[in-house]
This record gives sequence, structure tokens and C-alpha cells, in this order.
Amino acid sequence: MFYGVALWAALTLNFILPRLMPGNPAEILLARFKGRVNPKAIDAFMVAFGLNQHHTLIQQYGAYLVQLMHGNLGISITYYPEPVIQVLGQALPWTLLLIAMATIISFLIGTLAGIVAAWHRGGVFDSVAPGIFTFTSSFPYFWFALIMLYFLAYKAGWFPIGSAYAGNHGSFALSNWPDLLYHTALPGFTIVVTSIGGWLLSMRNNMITTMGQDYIHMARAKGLARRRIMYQYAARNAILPNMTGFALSIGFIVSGALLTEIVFSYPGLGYTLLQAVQNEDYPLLQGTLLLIAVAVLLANFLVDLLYVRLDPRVRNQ
Amino acid sequence: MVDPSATAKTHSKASSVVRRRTIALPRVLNNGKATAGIILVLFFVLVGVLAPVLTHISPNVETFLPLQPPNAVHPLGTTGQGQDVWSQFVWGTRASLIVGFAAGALATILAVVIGMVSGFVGGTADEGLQLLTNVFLVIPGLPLIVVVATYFPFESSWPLIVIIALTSWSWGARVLRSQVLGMRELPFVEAARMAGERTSALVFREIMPNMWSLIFSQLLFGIIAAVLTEAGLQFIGLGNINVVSWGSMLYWAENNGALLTGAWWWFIPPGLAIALFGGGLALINYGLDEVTNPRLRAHRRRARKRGRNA
Amino acid sequence: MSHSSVLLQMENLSVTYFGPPDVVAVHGVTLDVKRGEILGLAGESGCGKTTLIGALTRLLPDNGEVTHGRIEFDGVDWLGLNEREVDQWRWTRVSLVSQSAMNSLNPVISIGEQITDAIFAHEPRTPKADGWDRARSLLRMVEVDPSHVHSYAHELSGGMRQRAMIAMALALKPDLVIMDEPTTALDVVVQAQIIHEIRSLQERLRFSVIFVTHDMSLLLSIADRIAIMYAGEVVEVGTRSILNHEASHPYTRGLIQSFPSVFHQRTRAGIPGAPPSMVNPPSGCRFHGRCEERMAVCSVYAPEDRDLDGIGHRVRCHLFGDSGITDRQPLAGRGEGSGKSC
Repeated sequence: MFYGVALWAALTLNFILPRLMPGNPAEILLARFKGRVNPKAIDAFMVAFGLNQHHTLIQQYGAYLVQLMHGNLGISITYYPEPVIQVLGQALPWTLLLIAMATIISFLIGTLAGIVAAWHRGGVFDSVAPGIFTFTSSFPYFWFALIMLYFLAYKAGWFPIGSAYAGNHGSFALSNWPDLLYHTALPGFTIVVTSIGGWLLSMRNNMITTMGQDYIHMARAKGLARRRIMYQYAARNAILPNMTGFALSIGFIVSGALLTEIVFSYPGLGYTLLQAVQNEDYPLLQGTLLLIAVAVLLANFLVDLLYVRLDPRVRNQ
Repeated sequence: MVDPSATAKTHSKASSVVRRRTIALPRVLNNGKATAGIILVLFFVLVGVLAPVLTHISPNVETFLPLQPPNAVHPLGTTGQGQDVWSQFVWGTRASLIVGFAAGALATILAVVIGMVSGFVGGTADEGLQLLTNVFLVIPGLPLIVVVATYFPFESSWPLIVIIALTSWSWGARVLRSQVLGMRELPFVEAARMAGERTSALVFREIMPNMWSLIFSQLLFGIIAAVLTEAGLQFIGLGNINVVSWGSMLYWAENNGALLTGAWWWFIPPGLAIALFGGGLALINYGLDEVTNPRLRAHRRRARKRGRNA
Repeated sequence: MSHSSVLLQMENLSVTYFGPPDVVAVHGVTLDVKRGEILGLAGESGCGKTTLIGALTRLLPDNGEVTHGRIEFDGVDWLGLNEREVDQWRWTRVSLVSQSAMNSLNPVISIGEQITDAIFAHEPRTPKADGWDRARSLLRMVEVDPSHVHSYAHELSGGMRQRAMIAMALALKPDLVIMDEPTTALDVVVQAQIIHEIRSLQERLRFSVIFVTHDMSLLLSIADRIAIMYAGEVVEVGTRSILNHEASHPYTRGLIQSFPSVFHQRTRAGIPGAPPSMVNPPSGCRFHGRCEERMAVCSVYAPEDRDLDGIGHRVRCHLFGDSGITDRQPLAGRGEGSGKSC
């Protein structure tokens, strides 16, 4: 239900945005692009967004939704005559490879580190890690990416200075994976470092709160193995609020990580977004926004499903 | 399908209600992390405020020899266009902090109003506001701002401030709502309600005083988010990149090959400033958390614990 | 292992929480638990009951430490065991039922899993199916439908949860079950059922119980012997009938009188004042500030334990002292009619 409303909100927002320009969007676009852009691209954009001057807003909205259902997001101006949907289709896998993987890895490592820090409270790790990661988590994603690119790729030459693959075309064929990982490692690393602190700190705090619970005391009184208490009793409960936090932060993280793609010229949605901005490619811009919003929604939905599996208390609702 | 509000309820239960109380400043200053954070933040605020004193060179003057490394005349060197980096840094600090504080404050006000109303009024209004909050939570802010900024090239900072605030209030609203929900059940609030206090009086007299530290923590996060968003936006050339700020400095550095030419003095200071300023705010929040919730402190295990009971 | 009638012996036990400020939460407690008996432990909140349990289960918080005395469990120096040995003894010898079953059960794993994990931890060679069968029959024993092995804590009623906790505590047939206010969170009817359940199980299985509560009237109906704690000390211990009829320490008498009883016409009276601060315990007898019968000596010298009848009715009070320093003169205008045993 919620996801339905959120999806509808995202679609509608996407519809409204071009109409917020003062005056008639169709005329403005025509004027702005006159002579620069193939008129067919503008036509396609207007069809996709129902920008027909003779229709009422409701009719336009209907037309927009129909086009959307057919996957028509217009034609890209930058990559003319490629349809927007096709451009996005090429970018999406790279974003999934980089951002989705880095985000998940960051969450897993950060959560695990939070468990360890809380369990060995006051130990060396616990005294050092929270301070350090408080700082790394306030690094701007793109700046840390720049720094790493400069030192580890330009200066040290350990990593490629950009792109997601060697040569002109990337492929996900099995033989290409070493190359893909080689290109993805550094941008992925910068995303992990800048986003891990939040998970570490919140998991540590959740663990500490949880470890004060009676059932932990009980588990110790039962003489259970330390590992079982740590994972089945403490972490199993402490991870629940962390997952809620994770679901809600996906949008924020993706926003930052898109800029990482730009720094590394990584051919995903962030890079596509930059292309669209620089070329005033409105169809592509809107398509990218829509796809990112839908992807984040979907990610939220998946986390929710997982949450239900982990917490019996929300299962029967 | 699980409504996240259901998960929110278990969440709010887990994070114990009302552990945050009004805090005396001396206790905060006793906490090393909070003090370090306050010093960091104050440093940047002073730099921003004292900008005209700290440099006499206009940040936009392009008359110096380009790409000089730091030297006596230019403590942070010069840019590729022959501007003084120190003066850009100082004035950029001012511009970025203004956007950060203003957008952070505006987002916090929105969060307080929406979160409190939602939590206190309940019923349909609550459901509506909650839905709105959750929708704003899951729609990624930066790409949205990017699209808006492409349609409307901003001339001044104000539209930017407003739109950053509009896209970043939701997290705070959610946290505050669940706190209010918890507080509504507390004896003293219930007593006041039964004594017939009006809702508005209840909110401002009974609830608010117990929420200040939480609101303050939302403000800190709001400022961090605003500074990061502004920088990110300007980094890809949106917003007004001709206003000198941390973000626009990074934009020009990136686009003029500061990396390729190895002009580290150009691209390191603005990013480091964001990191240190944001880190300072995060440290303050972290320290406050420890002050209000002593359990979180990383106290060392007792050394003189005797063998038999260890 | 010796087979004396005494299962657990605490001798002059003191527990300190290191501060700042340092707090001596249990001070010089000597107490024993006999095989197959229910020992009641009563006192106001903050009197050190929980700390004493912490010491007995070796589950004190990080800053808590037994600074003095010894605990002997079945002839073994309990405090001398290392962590691994203690873990082996836990639940097989000593188990715990705590106040709030809701909070003591892990909310995200099933009841059965929480019963069986204790079984598998201590009897790792048990086949999976056998462990679960045992969990089912344990639930049946406490009159909970065995199908609830697959339920979660939030799916059970308060009474059922507490029964499940008791089933769990009995899973490995321990010698001693420590029950920390096991019925406080329940309503009166359910409370009576649970008490009945505990008593019939205890009569059947003959385990020892330390039953901790602030509810004196409850102890007078269930316990074989009762120990009264005040400000970290055991001030009086004796059999149920002795405490019921011949309670000697002024504090015990106050405690008994503060509860209405169905059997005896008692005037309800409270004990004036509040328990003292444990950071800075009062000089002399810790109760002297609230005592109606205090004497000059009480604020100066701490009283020593004294066995009144030679068979274990012990009292820590100057009213029953016989040392030279005792000055029997009550303070002027205070407590004219001192205790009847005086």
C-alpha cells in the first residue's frame, strides 16, 4: 500500500516538474532548443510527457501515464536517436554493480563491526573506530572519491583512473569479471568508507542497548556459548532498528554515491544524470530521476520483506 | 506488505523514550568528543564571520600567477585561473555555512512542526502526514534537486536553501513523531491532558521542553546534510557556481584539471573543510548522546578486578 | 561431593560496585540454602537482593565484585570456579526465573528454541528431535500447550510466559532455582496459579528455591525459611513459623505489619522513613535511623549476628546482643514497649 502511494508520488512528481517552469513548457523547450536539437527528440519528449497544448492537464496526465506504461520516456537528446529507456537500460547494471553492492557491503561490514565494538566495549577497536568513522561518514562522497582517485590512481597507479571496464565496451561475461572488479574496487571502496560509519555507530549503540536487556542476562545465566549470545540474542535483536535505518537511508546514500560515479566516470545512472544536466537533456534527466526513485523504492521494499522475516512481531500484521 | 510505520513502532520502542533530557553545558564540556566537535564547528564559524578580516584579497580576482603552490603571499596557493585559494576558502566558508545553517534550520522547523502535529493529533491527519513523511524519505533528494535545479537555474542562494530544506525534513519528522508518541503516554503528560490543558499548551509546555536535545540533534544532522547537498549540487555545476563556496571551489578544481596538474592545495581544502565541519557536528551529536545516555560511553573495564570473580 | 543437607552456603559475603562512588551493596551476608527447601528472601527494593542473586549466579555487572567472603555450592568453592566451569554449572545446577518473562524471553526466537538451546548447550550430544520433545514435555509439565514451542513471547499471555520461563528453568533439572519476583508482574489470580504451580513442582522434583520478593505475605505462605534483607545485610533469618509468630528484628516486624493478612488481625503499619543511602551507609546498625526501639549503642556499633534459639533463628540487632558495650537503655521518649523477646 505504502509503496503504491510512493510510486504514484514519484510518477506524479516527475510529471509535474517540467510544468513548474514559468509559462508553457512546450514553447519554452522549443525555444530553448531551437536549432540545437533534432526536433524529433523534442516531439518525442512532448509525447512522452503528454505536453500537448490542446489538452487539459488531466488529459495530459492520462497520456503521460499511458506512455509510461509502454516504457516510453522519450528520446535522449544527448544520445539521439536512442530512446531514454535504452540509455537507462545500459546504465542501470553498472549502478547496481557499484552502488548496490557497495551499499550492501558497507551495511554488512559496518553492522558486524558495530557488533564487535559493542561486544568488546572499551577495547582498542571500540575506542578507536567510532571516532574515526564519525569523521569518514561526514566526508562528502565525491570529495573522498577525488582524493582516492588522485592518490591511489593518479599518483600510485594502483587503480584505473575511471570507467568500469577496459576498452570501449563493458560486458558482464564471466571472463570480464576480474577486469570489472578491478575497475569497481576503488569507487566501491570510497562508497564503503564514507557510508560505513553510520552503520557501525548505530549498530554499536543498538547492541549496547540490547545487551542491557533481561533476555541477555537470562541467556548468560543459561550458560550459553558466548557466540550464541552475541549473535542469536544480542545482534539478532539489535539489527532490527539498524535495518529500519538502512531502508530509510538508501535514498540518501544513493544520492551521494551517484556523485562517486561522476568522479570515476563510471557509466552508471549518476554519470548519466551528469550527461543529462550538462546537455540540458530533459527527457534523459527525468527518466533518470524516475528510475532512481523506483530503484530506491524497490530496495526499500526488499529490506522490508527481509525485516518481516527477521521480526516475528510484525509478521502477523 | 509491511507498512514501514509498523516497523517504526517497534523501532521507537527499542530506542528508549525520553532518555534525552535537557542537558547542562558543563556536563557537555566534560565530554571530550563534544568539546572537540564544538571547537571544530566554532573554528569554521569564526572563519566565516571574520572573512573580511582574514583576507584582503577578493576571491574573484584572477590576476595572480596561476597554480602556485602555497607560499608566503598565498598561504593556500592559487587556482588555475589565478585566484587566491585562501581568500576563496575563507569566503567560501561563509557562503557554505550560510546555506548549511539556513537550510538545516528550515528543515528542522519543518520536521518539528510535521513530526509533532503528526504524533500528537493522531488519526487521519497523522496517517496522511506519516505517508507524506515516508514518501519524502524514500525519494532520493539529490537527484530530485538536480532536476529542479536544471529547470530553474538559481541566481541567489534562497531557492537552493528552500529546496534543500524541502527534501531533507522527513527523517527528523519521523524521529520526532515516534518520540512524541512515546511521550504522550507518560504520566506527567497524561496528567496535564486530564487536567484539561489545551493541545497547543500541552505541546509547548509539556512536550517541547523534553524534546530540545532531540531537536538539536536533528538540527545538527540537517546542517550536515545541507552542506553536503549544496556541495554535491555545485560539484556537478548546478546552483550558482559563480558564488564562491566549498562546492563551487571543488567544481572549478575538478573542471580545470586540478587533479591532473597535481594542484592538491586547490581541491583538498574545501573538501577537508566539509569533512571537518560535518565531523565536528557529528562529534557534538555523538558526545551529547553519551552525556544523555551514559551506557554508550566506551568506559574501560576495571583494571583492578580481582582474579576470582573475573 | 558431600551430601550434607546444605546445598548452598554463603559466608560473610560482601559485594561492592566500584564507582565513583564505590557502593557496598551486600555487606557480610551469611546464609544457607538447604536441599529441597524454599528459602524466601525479602526486603525493600534497593536492599541488595538483586546484587546477592548476581553474586550467586556470578552475573554481576562489570563493575561489581565480591570483595569478601565465600560461596560454597554443593561443597565446591563457587567463586573459585573459572568462567568455563561456571558456564557448565549454570542451568544444570542453578537456574533463574526472573521478574518479567516478557523481557526475559528473546522476542525474535521461538520459545522452543530458547528451551532447547539450553539443552543443547549443556548436552551437546542430544539429538535435535529429542531436545524438542523434551521442550514439549516441559511445557506440558507447566500446563502450557506443547504446540507453543513454536510460539514467540509476544504470542503468549503473561501467565503462560511465566510458566514457559519456569519450564525453561527446569529443563536441566537443576538443584537450585532462583526466582526473582516471579509473580510481581502478574495479576492476582494468575499469581496464585503460578505460586501453586511452583509449589507442586517443587514438591514433586525436590529442587531448592530461593524465592525473592518484597511481598512478605506471599513468603509467609510459600517459603520454608525466610531471610530478611535490609540495606545490604541479612538482618533476620528463621523458619516461616518463627518469622510469622516471633519475628524479632524491629525491621522484620515492621515489614510484616505493613502487609494485611487474611489469617491474622494485624493493624497495617508502615516503617517510617526511607532506606538509607548505600553510598554512605549509616554508622552502627544500618536500621537505627528508622528504628522505633533504637538505643544509644545502635548508632555507634554495628550489631553482630546472634542465634536466638540455637537452631538458626538468627538476628542482627542490639536488642538481642549480650556484649559489654550494649546499653539496653532506650533513647528517651522512644519505643517504650520494646520487642516482646526483649
